[in-house]
Amino acid sequence: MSVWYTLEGILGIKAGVAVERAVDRIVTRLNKASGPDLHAVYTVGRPIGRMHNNGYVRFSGGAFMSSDNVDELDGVIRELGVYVLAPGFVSYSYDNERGKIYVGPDEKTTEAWSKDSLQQIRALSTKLTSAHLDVLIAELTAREKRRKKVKK
Amino acid sequence: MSSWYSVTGKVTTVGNPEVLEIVEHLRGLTSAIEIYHEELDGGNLELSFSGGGYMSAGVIEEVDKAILALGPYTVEPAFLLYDYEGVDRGKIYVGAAEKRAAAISREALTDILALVGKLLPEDEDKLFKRLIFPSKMSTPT
Repeated sequence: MSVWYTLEGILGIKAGVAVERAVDRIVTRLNKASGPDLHAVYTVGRPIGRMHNNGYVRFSGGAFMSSDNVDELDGVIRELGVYVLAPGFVSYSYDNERGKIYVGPDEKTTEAWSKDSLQQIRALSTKLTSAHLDVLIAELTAREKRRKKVKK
Repeated sequence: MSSWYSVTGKVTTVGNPEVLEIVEHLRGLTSAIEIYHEELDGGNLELSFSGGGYMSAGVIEEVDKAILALGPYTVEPAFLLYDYEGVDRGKIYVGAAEKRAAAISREALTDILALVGKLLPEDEDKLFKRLIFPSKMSTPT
């Protein structure tokens, strides 16, 4: 079964000839896997003498594809993690369900993911009624208890 | 000036001429957002919204108004996803006005609980501390 999958976003890429080659290979694989309507464009940093500026990869478009194909694409995008300037994300829509693919070195990506989630939760929590706020506090309390149990 | 605007998602309404009139009005406003309607068992209608395109601020406002006008006819509150210029993304509540606060809160809670799992313990603590100081938060009643 096919799903409608879209990608959107920009990732800053470190400068360097070796980085350029590696990113170029990843982007080529990505575009082969995604088809013509969903693509990534790698803009290499403009060379200044022997130095290079940072580049970027822009993701855009959408296509119908299998869920296996989506997993493959996500995996290829994450391979950019070691080459990005800073942890970032690419927004996706998977059959209208939206989310973000976090890209960056593993540890830093987890931190970025957490910070971004916290920011989203803060914005969303203003919409909660007091009853639902209590549900959330209860959930956080339960999670804290579970964490402490695991520590013991 | 035109802006990119898209609306996606499904809403189930009672099947009556007023709903079909709103759907026709929406289709007349823009062909970029496709609206399929399917009659369900029992006479209800399932409206599926998909796609988007460049449209003026006036048209976007009219589209939103027409979608909100479906509210009183919904079988149960629903949320449509909108995307404005790829920057402002969110949900449009479609349902009865009196159920609005509760439905938005329930939807927000669902989204929050999904996000809580992505928090590092220290960020979870920060959130907890923030929540137990109600003076720092505004909560709808």
